[in-house]
Amino acid sequence: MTLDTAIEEQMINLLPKLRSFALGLTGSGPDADDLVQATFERAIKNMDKWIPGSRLDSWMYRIAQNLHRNSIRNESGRSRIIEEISFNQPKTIDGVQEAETARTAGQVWKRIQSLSAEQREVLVLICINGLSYRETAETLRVPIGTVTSRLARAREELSPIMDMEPSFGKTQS
Amino acid sequence: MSDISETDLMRLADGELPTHERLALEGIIESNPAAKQKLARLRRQNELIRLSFQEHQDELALARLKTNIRQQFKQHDRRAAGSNRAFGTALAASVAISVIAAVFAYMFGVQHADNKVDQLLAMQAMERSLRQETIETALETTTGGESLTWSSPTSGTHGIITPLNTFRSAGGRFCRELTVTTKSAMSEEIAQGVACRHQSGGWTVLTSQT
Repeated sequence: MTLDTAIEEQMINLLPKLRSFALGLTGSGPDADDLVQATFERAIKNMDKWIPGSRLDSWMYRIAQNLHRNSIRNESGRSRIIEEISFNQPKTIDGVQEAETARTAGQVWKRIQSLSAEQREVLVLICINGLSYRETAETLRVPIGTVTSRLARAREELSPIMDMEPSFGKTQS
Repeated sequence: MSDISETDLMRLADGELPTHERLALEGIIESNPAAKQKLARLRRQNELIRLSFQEHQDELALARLKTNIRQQFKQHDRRAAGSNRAFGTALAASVAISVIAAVFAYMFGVQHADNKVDQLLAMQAMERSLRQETIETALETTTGGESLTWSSPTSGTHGIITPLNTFRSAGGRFCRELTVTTKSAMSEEIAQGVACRHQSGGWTVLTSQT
């Protein structure tokens, strides 16, 4: 069956968000691109399995999630050296503060890569792709409480990095 | 921090609360410095998470993916549409090829055909370099949507180069989207692509036929 042009366009429009999701899962640009490509291949081949009227984005996120899980299983233990990324290109006149922020963002990125896949999925869908907790729960097919607790745990893991920022250091409570 | 839970703060920072709940909670937080600080921290954390991803968003990679995926759609559609006609098309193609081959052999003989092939290759190489030069000139000199054309004096093959919008890649390089149309007596090809300027001043052009 040939694909509806409108659906093709919808799928293409999802590309940036799927790439963010893939980036969160794989931790590297080239791996993310491979995963997105594979996700589209799978989606195009299985278009008859998508239920019209249901959310296309959720369906494609799930395909990406499954492909990624299978690829980890095939890798026999995931041990990737996370490259040191230079976050030292200040873009504004206030270079010092900008560079500080970039450095902290670099630390956050590294820490995100050490989270579990489940935590990363939730974090990207909510914090980067702007899904609500409920939408995320429906997409990942888990209870909303699970989404909340995964997100809270992911945030806790990232929390120590915040102490590097003088104005956001830990408070006594 | 007895009356405001961590989860409430997180939901507030993530825009999960309906307006009335949000306003009520913000009111309580206003008089609770510890909660206020925690909320600021959560919001800053969200910002840092977004920033950390932004550094890895790569327009060139996205554009490349987009072209590849459009290609996949085309292949899929062609395969789906072509499965019924495949036999007929293959038969017609083989008949046409046989006829052309026979005419060639009859008219020029085998040795002449070799020369013809050489000439054809040289002509194609010239067309490619003409096209390449025009692409570079167009990228350097035209505004978005404006076209430059080239034309081969020998074969009549000609082309249109149209750079579109200009953008800056995540790595800070200047890039332009472009379409490259090439028309010959036999065919018309339209390719879409992205060109990014590399450090030495030249352009890297990625195109995909549509």
